[in-house]
Amino acid sequence: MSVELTPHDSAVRADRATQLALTLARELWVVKDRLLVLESMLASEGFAGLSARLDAFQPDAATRASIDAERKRFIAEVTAALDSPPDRQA
Amino acid sequence: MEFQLKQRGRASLHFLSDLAVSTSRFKPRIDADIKAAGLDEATLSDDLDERLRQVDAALADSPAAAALAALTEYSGVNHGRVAAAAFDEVRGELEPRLKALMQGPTTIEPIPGERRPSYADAAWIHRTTGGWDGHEYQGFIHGELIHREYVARNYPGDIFAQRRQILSVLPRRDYQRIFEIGTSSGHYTLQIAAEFPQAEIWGCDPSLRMLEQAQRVANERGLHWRLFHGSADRTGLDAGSVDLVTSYIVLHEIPREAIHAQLREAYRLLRPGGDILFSDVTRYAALNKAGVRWAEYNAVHGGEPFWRESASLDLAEAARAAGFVNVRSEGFGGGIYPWFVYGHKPS
Ligand SMILES: C[S@@+](CC[C@H](N)C(=O)[O-])C[C@H]1O[C@@H](n2cnc3c(N)ncnc32)[C@H](O)[C@@H]1O
Repeated sequence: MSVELTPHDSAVRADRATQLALTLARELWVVKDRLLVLESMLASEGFAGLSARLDAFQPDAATRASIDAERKRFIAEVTAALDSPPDRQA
Repeated sequence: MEFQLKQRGRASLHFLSDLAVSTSRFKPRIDADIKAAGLDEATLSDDLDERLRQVDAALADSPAAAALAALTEYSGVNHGRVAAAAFDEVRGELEPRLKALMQGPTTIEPIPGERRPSYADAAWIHRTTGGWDGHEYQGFIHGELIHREYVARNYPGDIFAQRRQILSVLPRRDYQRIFEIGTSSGHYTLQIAAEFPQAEIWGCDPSLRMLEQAQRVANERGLHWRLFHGSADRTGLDAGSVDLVTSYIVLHEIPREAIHAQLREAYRLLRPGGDILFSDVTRYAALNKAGVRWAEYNAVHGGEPFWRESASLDLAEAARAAGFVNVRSEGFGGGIYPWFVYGHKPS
């Protein structure tokens, strides 16, 4: 039993760019889901003029630090997706 | 146990599950591409390795095959990671409750015989990082997040009801003591306990992380199970000490020799008049060549190192060789899944 028996299929699996695209799609979905949650919460609390305030927002130092940390985590995931999966590493 | 994931974990897991569900649309198109290449029951090779190569070459330019490969590779590699990350986000809140549930009537003790068979470390089953013991809370992660959310949405029918229905095959309702092989996180054990409320339940598994979840599941319901950390191949438990030995979807994860060993061990553990019921995946003998090719393809890429040798074994013959009589090896309810082998130890 081995992946060598299906070389064409295995080549598709080994293509890191496709796996990266799927990882990005997942992350994008998490963000979209969160935005939908946020909009729903804000709407239920009668919050108006949201998009203009978002555009004008300037993060303070603490907010900036937490955004920086989250971006580093995201990049680590993107990098891992470009690497071979751990069970196929030599 | 009631619990809530954080938004990231919940959304990531839902994405993985729905992505895996979406792959079913490619299968009919791949079958059509195989047929268009002139491959059918007459022209597909009898040799399974050769058949895999044949179909792979025929699908070299199939967009549907490429899409399926990319998507199943992504799901295979990532479902365990995503579930573990979802757990880690809420670990702080859950850990005290998970620890508390390990106190109660259900106990875990080392099995007197073999603790860990060598094949347990042959590969990461299901390509999950570290296999069955890959995370300190792997039992919760697999039992509650992967199985309930991801597996349940990707397999046909109600996978929990199937565990209950299969028990209708058994001729008796008066088993005093039941020994379950491969208890894992206790999904089947719960059904056994519900079907045989009077019986004393013993279970075993070489994965301590999985057994710990079975212990929590039982304690939460006030159930008294005696769980043994170790292998069913050579338990070291007393001969003639139980009335039923049973397992659910364990056989395809162990090599052929281990299946023979578990049948022999079950025979030894049973009192005369006792029964076995082992349920598992569809046997290759019950599928046509194209069906076996699909099963094998999924096994090769899904982290199932023993599927082929296990699914190729004639379970009826193996059960008879171990001494069982009135043997039945067939699909449940006239279907092909779940498959089961039943046997009786003569009085
Ligand atoms: C797919 S899981 C079983 C699922 C479980 N019965 C259920 O219904 O959800 C397979 C289990 O078999 C266990 N296993 C593997 N080798 C074993 C052995 N030699 N003896 C007992 N259990 C074993 C694995 O550790 C794993 O927990």
